Amino acid sequence: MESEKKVVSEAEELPRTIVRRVVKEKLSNCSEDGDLSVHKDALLAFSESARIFIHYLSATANDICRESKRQTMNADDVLKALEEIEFPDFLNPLKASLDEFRRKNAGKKAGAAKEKEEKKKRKLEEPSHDSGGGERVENEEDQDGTGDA
Amino acid sequence: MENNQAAAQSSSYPPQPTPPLPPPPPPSSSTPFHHLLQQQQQQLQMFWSYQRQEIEQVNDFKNHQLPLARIKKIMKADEDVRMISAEAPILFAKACELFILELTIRSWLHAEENKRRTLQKNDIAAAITRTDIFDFLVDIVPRDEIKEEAAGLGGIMGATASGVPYYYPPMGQPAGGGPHGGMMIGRPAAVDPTGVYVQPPSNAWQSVWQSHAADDGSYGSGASSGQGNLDGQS
Repeated sequence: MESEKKVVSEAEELPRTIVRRVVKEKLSNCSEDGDLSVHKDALLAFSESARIFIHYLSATANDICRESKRQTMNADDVLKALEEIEFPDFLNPLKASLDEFRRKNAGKKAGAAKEKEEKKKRKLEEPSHDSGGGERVENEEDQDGTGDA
Repeated sequence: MENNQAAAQSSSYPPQPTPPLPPPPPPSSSTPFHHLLQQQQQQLQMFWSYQRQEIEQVNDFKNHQLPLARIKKIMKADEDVRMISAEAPILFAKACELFILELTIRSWLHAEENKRRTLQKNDIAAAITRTDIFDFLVDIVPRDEIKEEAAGLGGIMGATASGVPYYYPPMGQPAGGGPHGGMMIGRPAAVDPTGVYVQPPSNAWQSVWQSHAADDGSYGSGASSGQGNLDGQS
């Protein structure tokens, strides 16, 4: 009866706690008076529906990607797919998320790129300062003045 | 001499409770200790403003709470799907969440109709059956549910010969585009006419809304669906 699905599901599932949280938060918006609860089977149904949605969207996006003779499914394919499967309302929030993600990544990349640049510069500078006194990096212990020039 | 002179002189500590940090020392007499304190204070400030930023951004991260790795695994269960850009799972996570929200609202409406405060599986089934764009989920809905909903509609629409109304694939399918009908994953195959149902005009919905009475969770009579995982043994 209350089988906890110990069966090894061939299909990966979405984490139930997260699905549950999403559903319950929405329900608390829907009704201000009193708590709405969710039957366990209903949660499974949500989970399963979401999983199939991923498949559906993914397959559609994949088709779009292939049509453009590409191998890698990209963000644009996904957005186009959403239109095709008639979820246009999702487009704006998704684009916003995507922009956010890209901005953050750009920041990280810029930071990482800068670091790389600076490391390169330092490396280039080291060998050219061979003529006495400039070997800060290597002779740090010698700062008290016993360095050999 | 009056002691209530607020002593700005660093030589005498004022009797009132000291502020958490000592007053900023005059520049000339700055000791390494003061430098350190100032530094720490700055660092603390930076730390907290960063934390605040993080907290504000948590809302955004909350939206990505569906684990990307899991989403990727689900996507890759479809053999046709090969390479996925890094951005795609992000979109999927968000889309999934939005989808669950949609499904939740519509299911809730059904529970409301039936004056229940617990969402049940049949509420979701009803939401799927009623919403065109959820057609792709029809296979996980037990047949009984479809028939029940259809019965409500069939009376208005005029039932077809088989008693099961028809289904029209969403419009605007591009050439060789996405899947149609039931659970055709990744293959632009022909419409499979097996689980089909009608999409009524909006007026019909009103009467269904009112007349559709008893619809409590009395299914799960083993009417199994394509998705074995879902069949809740209740």
